[in-house]
Amino acid sequence: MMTRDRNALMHDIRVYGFALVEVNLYLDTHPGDQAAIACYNKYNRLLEEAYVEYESKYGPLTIHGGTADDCWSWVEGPWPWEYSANVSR
Amino acid sequence: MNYNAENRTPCDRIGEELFSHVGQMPTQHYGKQEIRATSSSPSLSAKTASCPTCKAGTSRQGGCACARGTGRSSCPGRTSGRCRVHGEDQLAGLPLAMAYVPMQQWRNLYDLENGFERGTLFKELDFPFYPTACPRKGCR
Repeated sequence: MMTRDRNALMHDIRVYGFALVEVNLYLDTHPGDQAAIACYNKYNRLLEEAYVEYESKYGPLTIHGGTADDCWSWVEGPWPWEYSANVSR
Repeated sequence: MNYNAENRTPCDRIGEELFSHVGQMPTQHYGKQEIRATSSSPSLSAKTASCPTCKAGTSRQGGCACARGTGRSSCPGRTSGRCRVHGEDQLAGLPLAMAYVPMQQWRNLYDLENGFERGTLFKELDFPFYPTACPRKGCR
């Protein structure tokens, strides 16, 4: 798989997450739409891959995303109000 | 009548009364089929709906005859090719003040990047709204 830097990974996570919400809302009213279900599964897999890759390289994205080893890694990444946490590409 | 005691939904409460005059409309399914029922309009006759401007009866497809060729020039309400009273109203004959939402279909999708930029994955739902000046004089 193509390696992505931090910003590219974060961007992909946002894009896949957004697409999933869109497909999610569509499926709420069209629960039997096979094309939409396939689309949902595809983006869900891509999001999962991006999530795993990001967290393995750069630390947890949510409080559930990491394990506490010798250091509480949650505080190491940029905070939401910091520029580097919000730059997209 | 105590509707709550009968465990009826708001849909049930309005159903029979409002749709009773639209003969064959499937009352138990109208939540999903109102548009299709309208486009074919099997229950609409010229007697039940006519254009109040040109007094012509509606065709089976809905809308008044003055916008459909015959009698075009005789309809005083017609402006720029359409009768402004009934025109091509595909919903003619349905109960007033009800909202109808066509079912979305899985088609015309943006790719991921464009959808992210546009704020929707669906081209058919991409309606950018821009503020414009109010057309009323003196209104700000």
